[in-house]
Amino acid sequence: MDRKKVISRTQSVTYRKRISPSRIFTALATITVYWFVARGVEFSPTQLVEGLPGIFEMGRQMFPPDLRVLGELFWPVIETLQIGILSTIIASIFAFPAGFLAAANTSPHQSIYFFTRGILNVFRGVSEIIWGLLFVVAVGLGSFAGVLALVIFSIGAIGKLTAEALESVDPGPVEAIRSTGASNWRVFLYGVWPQVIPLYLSYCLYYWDHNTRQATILGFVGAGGIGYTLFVSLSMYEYEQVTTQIIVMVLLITAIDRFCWFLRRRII
Amino acid sequence: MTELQPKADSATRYIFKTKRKLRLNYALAFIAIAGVFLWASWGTGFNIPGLLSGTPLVYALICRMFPPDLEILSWLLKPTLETIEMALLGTTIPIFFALPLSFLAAANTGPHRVIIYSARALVTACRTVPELIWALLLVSVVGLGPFPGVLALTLHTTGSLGKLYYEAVEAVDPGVVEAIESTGANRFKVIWFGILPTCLPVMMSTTLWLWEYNNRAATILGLVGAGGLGLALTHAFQDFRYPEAITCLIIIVLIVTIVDRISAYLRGRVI
Amino acid sequence: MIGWLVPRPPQSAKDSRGVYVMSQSANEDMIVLKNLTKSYTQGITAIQDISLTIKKGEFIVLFGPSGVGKSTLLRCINYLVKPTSGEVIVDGQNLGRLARSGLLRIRQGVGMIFQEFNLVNRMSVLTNVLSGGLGKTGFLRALTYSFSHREYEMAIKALRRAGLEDESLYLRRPDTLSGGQRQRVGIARMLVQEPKVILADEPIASLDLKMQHTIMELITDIATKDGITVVMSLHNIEIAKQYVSRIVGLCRGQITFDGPPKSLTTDVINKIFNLGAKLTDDRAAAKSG
Repeated sequence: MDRKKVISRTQSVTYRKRISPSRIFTALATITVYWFVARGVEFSPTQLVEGLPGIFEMGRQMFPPDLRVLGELFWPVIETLQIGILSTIIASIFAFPAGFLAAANTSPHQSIYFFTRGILNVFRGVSEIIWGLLFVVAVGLGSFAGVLALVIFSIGAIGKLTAEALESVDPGPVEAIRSTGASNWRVFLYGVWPQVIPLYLSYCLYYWDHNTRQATILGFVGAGGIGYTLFVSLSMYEYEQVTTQIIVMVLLITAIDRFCWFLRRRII
Repeated sequence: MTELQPKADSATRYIFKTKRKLRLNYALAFIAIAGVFLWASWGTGFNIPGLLSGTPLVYALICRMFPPDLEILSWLLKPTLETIEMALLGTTIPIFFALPLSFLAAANTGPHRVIIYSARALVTACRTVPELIWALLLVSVVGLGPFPGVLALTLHTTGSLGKLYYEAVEAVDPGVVEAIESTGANRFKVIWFGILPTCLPVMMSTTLWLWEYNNRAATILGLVGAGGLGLALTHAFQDFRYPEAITCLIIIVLIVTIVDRISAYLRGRVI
Repeated sequence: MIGWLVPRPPQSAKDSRGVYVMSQSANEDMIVLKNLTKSYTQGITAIQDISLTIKKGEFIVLFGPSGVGKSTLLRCINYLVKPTSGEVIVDGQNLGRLARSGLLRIRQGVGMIFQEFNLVNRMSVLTNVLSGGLGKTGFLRALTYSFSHREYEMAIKALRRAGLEDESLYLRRPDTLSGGQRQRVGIARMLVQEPKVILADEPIASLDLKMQHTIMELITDIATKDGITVVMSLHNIEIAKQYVSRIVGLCRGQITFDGPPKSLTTDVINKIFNLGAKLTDDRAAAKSG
């Protein structure tokens, strides 16, 4: 075959592929969708630009941060930490059996599988802050509501991830243990459990980090911790205190982040 | 099998000693966690009697919520759309910022140590401040409505995506980079043809995961006035209109489930 | 000891070498397969109407290309895969008619080794070997991963017999070991069961040439010393011819050959692999053209 013809034909094929009608259509469709979305969201850069001077005004009100309240913030911070870790511990205990029931290969019955999956989806579908709102309305203000909210959410989140981990377990070792004539739960304990345990622990650790972070905001809806003090200061327009509290929040989140990263390196 | 040899016995003893140490560690860890559990329960007021007395209250609340109020469905259309749109914009716009930032912040592609550290600091700053706080600040700047919500999500997600992206970039197999570099390509080409295609699946998976996350985050931004269903939900609770609240919740769960499905489908097709 | 809480299977008599003697049947047949068929819901038939008798102490090889049903056949012998129809009789017991506890007891006497070794990477080598005796371990012991001194000694003896003398390996994880060492761990795990039958699913396919021979010699040595019946699936014909006395050739789920290695000529091999005349014709054409 003529070499020049081959090259030019190849070039034209690749060129044609890059600007095909279907690709143009997709691009146009995406742009149109975004146009509507931007309008729906009242996207307006002018509003942003107009608001920029407001940032300076806000900065003037918020700085310098009022450091006198630091002492008062000690107990709310401790409370936030407590909410975070307590909810993770409780959720971890329940999330494993939940994940077990929600995994297609370990669930005892099809209906249990669907039911558990559905419940876990609802638990994690609703944001933990909304759960916090719900529990505050149900059991009153304070960190008890916060703990309950995070427990429910974490069971959903960790449970779903555990179920996926159980479903993706390597079947080889499981088969090997089955072939030794061990009963079902021993097959699980020696074939499945060792494979899932590192994943499960890493999820629990991750959600400890996540829960403590969310616990800082949960107070906003009245569920205790530093978020609540923030809410109170905000309603009283004490902006310098708000700044301090935000700074403390950020420091707390960073500290937990670092600690979890360190723990993860050591355990896994 | 051969008879018992002295060596087997000593090996067994050594193993039992090691196991004893391991068992001790496990026991200590268990005691530590139990101690933390008790301390945290005391601090947050979490106890079994409280749980027992609280359960009927929760049940009572649920009873007051049902049956769901379906008349407000048409009125909820706008906030629902706002929530979906906020999540969409809040996930896609940050991609344009997070991607270049991630290459600046990754140890194997960053041009200079100072740039790497400042990019990482920027990413961490955006990420550590919770979306709600960003929304709070932005509502004061641009006013109420979904727009500050979009901006808040964009800022926070730029941080989250940036961090996950640069971790993906750093995890690229150096062999790939070596191969492209050996062809004499300049830095940009190495990134574009070597690193980017390799970490693209992880990045897309991460972005989809963050889209799922932002959907939930978008629902709550209404708490501070940044639009979406959160606003309708807060109003419903404040006015004690519980059937309305449950309708909002059902819609939220539906949105999240649908988005999760779409995300799983896209993940299967694209990755 | 917690032992009295757990009903133990009836202890069979041991002969002078300490090997369990067959307790059930008087005749020499260890494994009898009658009209075994396994088909899956998608319409795929893995094995079709297979009938096979394997005597006690025999070492047979299932030979054939990949995907022909060797693995399925092996797994039907210990009922890891339930056949669609047909009977499996191991040691005089019809597996299809046994209650679950009886099936587990039979499985305890059937050891299995795999191509991919199938070790649990998260547990130490020693725990992997100990898990071979899970069928007989007590309830609390199994639950808390605490095995008795005797079980540990058995495991270490099994590891030594499988050729792993270096004790520093015992507490390491399997993924730090080489392929040959891992297969030895798999063999040790099987030895702890004190099996009467060994099922081997392509045990040497993932190993290098020298290690293949080493492992084959190890298995043969164990089988002859303990009088264990071995059913092994291989696709390497040279090794099969070298070590066994009976080869069963499978093609497309059916037995196409059953006899000593001498009778396994190139012609027969072609038939097993269903290559047929076309290949020989092509070869002849290539030689001349």
